[in-house]
Amino acid sequence: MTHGLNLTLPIKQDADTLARLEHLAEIFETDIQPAIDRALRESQLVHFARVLVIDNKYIQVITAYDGDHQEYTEFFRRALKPIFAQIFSLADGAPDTDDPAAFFDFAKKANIRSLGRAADDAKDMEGHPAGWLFSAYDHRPVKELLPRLRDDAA
Amino acid sequence: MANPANIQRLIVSGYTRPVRTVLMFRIGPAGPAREFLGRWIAKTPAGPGETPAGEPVLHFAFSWPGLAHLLNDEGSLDTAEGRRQMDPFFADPTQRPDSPALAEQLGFIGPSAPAHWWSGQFTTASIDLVIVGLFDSGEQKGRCLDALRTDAVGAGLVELELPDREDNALSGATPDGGRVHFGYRDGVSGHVIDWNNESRPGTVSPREFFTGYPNDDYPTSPFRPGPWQDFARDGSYLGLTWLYQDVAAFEAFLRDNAAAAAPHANGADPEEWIAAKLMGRWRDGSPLVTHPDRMPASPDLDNEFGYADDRAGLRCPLTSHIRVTNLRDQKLSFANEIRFPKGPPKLIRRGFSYGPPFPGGQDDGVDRGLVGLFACARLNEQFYTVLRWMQKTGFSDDFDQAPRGQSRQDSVMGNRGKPGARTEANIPVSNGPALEFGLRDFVHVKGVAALFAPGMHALRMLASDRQT
Repeated sequence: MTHGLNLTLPIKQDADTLARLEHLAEIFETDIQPAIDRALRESQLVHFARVLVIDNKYIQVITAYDGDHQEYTEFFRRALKPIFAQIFSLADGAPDTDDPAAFFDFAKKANIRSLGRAADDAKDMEGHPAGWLFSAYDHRPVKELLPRLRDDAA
Repeated sequence: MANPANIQRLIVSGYTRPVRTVLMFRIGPAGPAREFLGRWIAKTPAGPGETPAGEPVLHFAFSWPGLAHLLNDEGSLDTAEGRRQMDPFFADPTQRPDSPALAEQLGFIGPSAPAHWWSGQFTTASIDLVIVGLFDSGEQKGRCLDALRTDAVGAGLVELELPDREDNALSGATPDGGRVHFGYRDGVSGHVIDWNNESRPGTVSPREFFTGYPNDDYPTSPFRPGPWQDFARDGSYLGLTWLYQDVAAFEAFLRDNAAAAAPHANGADPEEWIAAKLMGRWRDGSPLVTHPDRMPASPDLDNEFGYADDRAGLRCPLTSHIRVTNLRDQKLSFANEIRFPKGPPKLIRRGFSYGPPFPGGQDDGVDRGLVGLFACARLNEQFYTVLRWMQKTGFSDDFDQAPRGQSRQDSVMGNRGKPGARTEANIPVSNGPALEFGLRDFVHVKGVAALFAPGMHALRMLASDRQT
């Protein structure tokens, strides 16, 4: 089952935070993106991922990933702790990213439900019907798709 | 590091007392409930060791609502802060085992769905307090339960009874000859805890099982230093599980597949061979990976074995129960290696059987099974992870060696109604293609609760005795 993550955080509007946001944007391609790429690629859990900023007012982490929400939150926390710490620090109430309970709670609250209803009976992190997530390949998991793509390429 | 003398004995030592009961209560007014605890925690031994016969033993565990209710006027512990700091899979009601967020992923669907739990008498949300009683005899149990129940009523506790059960509770005993209802010898494996933090090979850090000592490898909750971490120190989160065992279905499965197994069983009884392949041990307790061809002449209960040189599961199938629930040296997937830097999740397991032995033949319709208590320091990363892995085996790249290996199940415990699961047991053999036996449900879950078993200091704090 594939889930969508729509982590959405309001950015604090003080000068220091906005300066740190600008710095994050500057270093994203060289410092952040490769680290995320390495972790997600090796996990074989994530289909897509991106980070975007809306009018310097909101920052979003948007992904589609396989497995239950609760199963791999700890993987994402551990694998990308410094990156999440940087992103979360732009918002009020940022958790200590060393604390799994605080991280889970914060991520749960920051995840915005997409419109519509999941066609595959997926649930969100609190067990409500998840919002709609389109999949061109019927939500097949990454681990199933990658070997087939490699076979096709061979 | 963890202080054994502050830990309830049930967690650090098994007991030989044969007669056991689990009582469940809703707490009424907090004051009388604390006084009730104060009178009965004298029967709670601490630390490793033997408890002399002659007196009942009681152990205590609480749900988050139960803890919060008792601590509501405890000045140093703000329960709103406790809700944030304790393990969210203990304190957050949306993450209870019977919640829509978790039930399906943990395999609690179909006949194991929460709607069928606790004989329909109450819900997991009703449970505030669990008392585990261990007794020398039925008579001792009867006297103790009478006195305890009378006192509980006077203290405003409401017992959550199971009227269709012996003692109106989860009552049972250590199995005859150490054999549980499916015929396997139980209590073979255990963990040696590294109390002195010496990192000796073959030992397990106390941080795997006891809260209050978080570090980067074991970021247990409460994580932040302060009153809640102090309160939780030397406690354990505890998964209480009530499990029905369909022995008739299990024995029928062995019979039905014996003919297909016989050419591969190396002269062993084919039903016993299949039973071993499902569990990962012969029914005498000998590990299959060490004795792949036949049951040894006498049981081998050595617990020092691994699977690193059996990656394809030719000796012990990858989906055998003991291999799914305790991976030992089997390699995890990348994501799980990141989750578990100190190796696969472990649990301390205590429990007992209930119901009479199966007489054989057709299903007699009698309720029989297991009551389990699983202690750990992190509910989601340990107890719930093992439950998930039993339902779908996507946790190790070794499963890629079987067709659709990432979607297989624990051969004994998997819920065959799990969407997307491959419900055949894949049993590699040396003389041909792997056998594929269509599995059926052998167990149903009848109740699960996520609890906290406090250390002795915290237990005294919860009782009317507030001395530190």
